[in-house]
Amino acid sequence: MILGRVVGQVWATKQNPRLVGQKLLVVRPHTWYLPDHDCDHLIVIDPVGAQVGQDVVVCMGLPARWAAGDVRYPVEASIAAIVDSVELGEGLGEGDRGRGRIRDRENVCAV
Amino acid sequence: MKLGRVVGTVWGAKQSAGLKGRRIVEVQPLHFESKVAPRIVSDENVDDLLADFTMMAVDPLGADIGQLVLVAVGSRVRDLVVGPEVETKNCVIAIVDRAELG
Repeated sequence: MILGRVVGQVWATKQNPRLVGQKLLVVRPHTWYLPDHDCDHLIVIDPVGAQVGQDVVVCMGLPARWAAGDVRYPVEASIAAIVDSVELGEGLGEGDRGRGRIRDRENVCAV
Repeated sequence: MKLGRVVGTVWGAKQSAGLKGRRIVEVQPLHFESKVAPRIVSDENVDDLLADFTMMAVDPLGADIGQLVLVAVGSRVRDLVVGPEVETKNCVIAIVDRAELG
């Protein structure tokens, strides 16, 4: 699962029939904690009702389809939860493995 | 899933059976890092937002070159979109009109 922030929404007219009526959001994964992601944005299906600016937990792969409520959705990223607050242990989230970066850390922790 | 722009189509004179008759497109994903993205991203203003790599995807929707598309990755998604016999993991699942960034 990935922690990220909703930054926008995507509209598409021509799409896979199973995606019709689904909300698609743009999420920027936070990279200050350990998991890295190969792309700096992620389009996710939103069964939860997240708003732009909120931090969310995104799950990937088969669990994403479970979270979306139907394994036949042709998606591999879905919002599983809206984040209230994040607590980090001492020394974590500092990018000490060389690839993490602190981005809006204070902001995120206080959301 | 990723947003990307179709930058080309691929034609093979000789191809595996699963790819026969399939449209394959070359997609350049968007990369927002360290750039100020416009509030509304559409296929007209993504020139500065493209990543420095491309990916191939099978396209059942018939996207044109220059259009913004949504690409999903994974064999299960491929099974659902085009069928398990197609030798790819990347599928175009939507042609994007616009993305609005808050």
